[in-house]
Amino acid sequence: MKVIHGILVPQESVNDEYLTVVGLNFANGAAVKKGDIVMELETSKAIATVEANADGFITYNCADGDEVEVNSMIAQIWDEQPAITDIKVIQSTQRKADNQSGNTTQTFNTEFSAKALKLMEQNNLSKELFTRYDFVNEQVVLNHLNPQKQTAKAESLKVKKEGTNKLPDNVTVSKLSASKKREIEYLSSVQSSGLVSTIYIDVNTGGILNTINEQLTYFKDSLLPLVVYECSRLLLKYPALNSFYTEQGVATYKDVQVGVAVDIDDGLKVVKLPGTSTLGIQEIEHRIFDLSNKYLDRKLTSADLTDITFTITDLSADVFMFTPLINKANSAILGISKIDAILNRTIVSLSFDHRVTEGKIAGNFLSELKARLESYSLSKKTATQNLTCYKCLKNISEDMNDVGFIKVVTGRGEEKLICDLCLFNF
Amino acid sequence: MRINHRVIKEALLIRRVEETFLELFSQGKLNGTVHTCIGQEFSALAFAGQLRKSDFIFSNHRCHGHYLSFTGDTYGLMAELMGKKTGASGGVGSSQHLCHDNFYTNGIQGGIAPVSAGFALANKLRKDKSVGIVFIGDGTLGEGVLYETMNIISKWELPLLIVCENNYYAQSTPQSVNLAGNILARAEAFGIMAKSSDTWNVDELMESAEESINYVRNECKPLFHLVNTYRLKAHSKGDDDRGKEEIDSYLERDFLHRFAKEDPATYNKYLEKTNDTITLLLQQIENDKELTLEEYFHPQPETTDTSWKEVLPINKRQVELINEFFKQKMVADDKTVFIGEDILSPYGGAFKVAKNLSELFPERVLSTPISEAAITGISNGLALAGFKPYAEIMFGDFMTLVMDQLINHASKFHHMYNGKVNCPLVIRTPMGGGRGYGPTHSQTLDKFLVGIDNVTTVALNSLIDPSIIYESVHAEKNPVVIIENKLDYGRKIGNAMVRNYSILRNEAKYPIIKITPQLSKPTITIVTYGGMADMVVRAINSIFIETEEAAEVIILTRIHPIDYAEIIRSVEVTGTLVVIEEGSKTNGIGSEIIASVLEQTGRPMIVKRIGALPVPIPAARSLENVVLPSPELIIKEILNLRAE
Repeated sequence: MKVIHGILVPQESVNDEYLTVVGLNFANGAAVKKGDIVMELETSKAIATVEANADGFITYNCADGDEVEVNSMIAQIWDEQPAITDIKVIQSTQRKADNQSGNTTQTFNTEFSAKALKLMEQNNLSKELFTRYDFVNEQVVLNHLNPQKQTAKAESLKVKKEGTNKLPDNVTVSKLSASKKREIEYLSSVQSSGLVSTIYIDVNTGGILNTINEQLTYFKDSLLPLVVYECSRLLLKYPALNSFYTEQGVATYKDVQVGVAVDIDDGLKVVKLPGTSTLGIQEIEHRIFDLSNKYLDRKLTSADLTDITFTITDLSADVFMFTPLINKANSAILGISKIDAILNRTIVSLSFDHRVTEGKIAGNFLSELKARLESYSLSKKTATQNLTCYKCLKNISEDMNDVGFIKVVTGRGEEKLICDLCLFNF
Repeated sequence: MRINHRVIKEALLIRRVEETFLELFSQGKLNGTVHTCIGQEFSALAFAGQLRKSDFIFSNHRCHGHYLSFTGDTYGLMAELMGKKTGASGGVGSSQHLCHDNFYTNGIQGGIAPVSAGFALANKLRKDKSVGIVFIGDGTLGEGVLYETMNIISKWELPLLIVCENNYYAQSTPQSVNLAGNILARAEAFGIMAKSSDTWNVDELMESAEESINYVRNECKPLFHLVNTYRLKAHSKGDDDRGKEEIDSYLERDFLHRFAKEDPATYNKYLEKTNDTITLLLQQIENDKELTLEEYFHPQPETTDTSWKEVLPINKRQVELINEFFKQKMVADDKTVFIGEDILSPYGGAFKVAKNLSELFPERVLSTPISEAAITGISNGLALAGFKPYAEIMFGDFMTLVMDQLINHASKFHHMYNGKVNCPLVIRTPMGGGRGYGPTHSQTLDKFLVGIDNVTTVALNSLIDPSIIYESVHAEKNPVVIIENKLDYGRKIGNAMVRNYSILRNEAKYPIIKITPQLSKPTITIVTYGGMADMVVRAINSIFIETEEAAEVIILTRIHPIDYAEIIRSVEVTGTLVVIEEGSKTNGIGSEIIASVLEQTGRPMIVKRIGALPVPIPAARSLENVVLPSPELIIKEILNLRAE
């Protein structure tokens, strides 16, 4: 019996070091055919499927919910059906450090780097601890000593200097989900620089929605499609906000692909509107609607979630005002807050990366956005269309006398409109 | 009287065609240059005109007369010079590079001599009674490769007639300035029968030429025939400083000139008819098209093989496996020829690749004098004639002596003759140091052997069964250079021990070998080939211990053209690319690999070239060890990479 093919965890995107196993489609030892989807893995972006690349019998080295490292071996395809006892041996070798020979995919005559050996000696660690590894370098030993931080080398070194985080006794700890960890990683990318600043502006919404609702199908009374539309045009003028910081310098995207944050009970996702600056308002609305449905159906693909150049987050259902957090590989994010129905206004916030741009530019962007949004309320035709006489509820467009409505103050002290007929006849 | 009116009409046609070329040139209708044989036509008619169609000719820059006399293809010649695709070489070759049936010309002085010898050797091996002529000029007597060839054709008794057209000038330099001694004595010194004639006594010339051809055919021996003649026009066009009196005195002796004077009525009748023929051809040719780029050059896209399988050790030394390949192949394919220096049994070549071969195949194992240019040229001729020659160049350092035959002949033939021929020769040579052989027997000159048009360059290593590479090479239609390694010859294939790495190879024609960590994600990509592969594989575990880097090593077997798919896949994972070659690192193969990978991925990465120091390789052991790349150097460079 021999392994025909080992299945490695695929590198689905350059950002992911770990993927989460979300489904094993066969039982251990089951027959599979080339092309069968044998398992599903969750990446930071989407679900990736893994195909069998040969006919044979499969054994898994992981369980549902495990986090697995990219390029590590997660399954093998065998030329003949393995006996169940064999499978047990394979699985147990993963955890126990027994010296099973002849099963090179699982235990190794581990190779240690000079630095790793030194560190092990200092910490009195036995080589037996590492038989699961083919190669052990200093980082692997550090990870072993400090299992909470298995990220980049620099980070784990930093943690070591600061000392281990001792938790108080009166707390319970619940493990972070894989998707939450990724969210933290994504948001830390820019925010951890500490050079993020947020500015706010109020937008007078009176009349805007009246104008816009006419064009909208799914998102009536929402500013989101219009904000996406206007931002995507404005970003062409403000490339610094359509960029991101790298160690080599500021990387500016050549096109505008606005991402819209959605969170409908299944974790926060930012969905991409490809070629945003070429889309009309209605097209934008339709795309957001479609992507939201894909999100709910869990059918988002990696392509729907990558290469976002600027993010807009809409919390207008809930909050008065908030500070949005910039996404990885972005230099800014725009937040839309709840529309105040009494004051006819909303607060729009813009967080930006100070390493890429500065307050003045960000301020200009926001003022210009405000002016553009408010310009929709000036549209005469639509602005007046909904004006009605408070007595007979007649619409101004039905005013056959072409006199217009008159502004009156009612007995309750409210400003209202009245038509000429009602004014004279009552 | 051997001169009849058919011959006179043919001579007139040659002259008028060339005069037409000069006219077209001055009208700007010819792209390039023309070397006319005006005044020398009867040499062409006497030799090329009296051959059989199964015979062959190799000619030089002044070849129009030879071409017309042998092929009768006036249309093909004129169309060729006018750059049309209906031309003999599709308009690619023009005046100096013609190919039609058994007629070949090239514009390199002397280079055609060994190629024609190879063609003659092919006839002899086939026991065919065909003969061949190689035309040279007196200027070519300055080229060394001519003498390498004369030595060999005499020793091997090859049916080749050398016709030396002596027009007393090498381009513009008179013979008095650059020719020493006696021309005929040069051939006689090699034991070759030598004769002379001239183009002024045409009867005697025709007769003497026929005798020479018959001698070569019947005796199966070479002959050197000197033809004294004179060209009445410039070497090319504007480069004529000869005195008018001198030229006029030869004009008076010119046969066609005398004929025109003696019988003007007949001459003018012939002239008119010839002119009409040429005018008609010109009208037709002017409507012909030139080759398009697609017709001229159509590279075949290659797909990458991604079915990886384990490399298993073979308990045999590399040199034994190569030797076995030849023993089997020379039985299986009777067109296989092994040629080189010191290859006869019992010696069997400097590195014993040819061990026992000459006993088994005495006719097709050819031990040569020390004449690398002629070895390669003869192989070129064999390859053109349908054989599969394997030329052994004893040390890679001697490849410099091979370069004219490789670059100006082997590499060019297929395309410059518009795809009419293939030249599937194979040149094998060992490179590399580590044996203390010193500056001229230890070099790795690979960088000079890649990037040559139409030439595939492969390199063996100690991990791959050489017969896999050799089988692929045997099937190639184009020239191939195989770089072997002196230290690898004695190594057992696939025997290197690596801990916790998988050694895999794909199923490509020239397999790529990949050594990759069994479980960990690699952190660095190392690309290497040839003799360095063995060193890198042996050092791979120490590299990890010292540098913390789990390397993925990609070993190429074909270094030109390179299949980049696997390198790019690896670098996308590691972001770090280290290239290791045994030659000096600047302007080298590593530079090319890094440039191509950067170009194709378009993303930043950490790169490093490792190679020998740019000095001659010293013989002293401790010094040689530090001049050539070593595991210590590789570890140091990788540590520096991360420190930067």
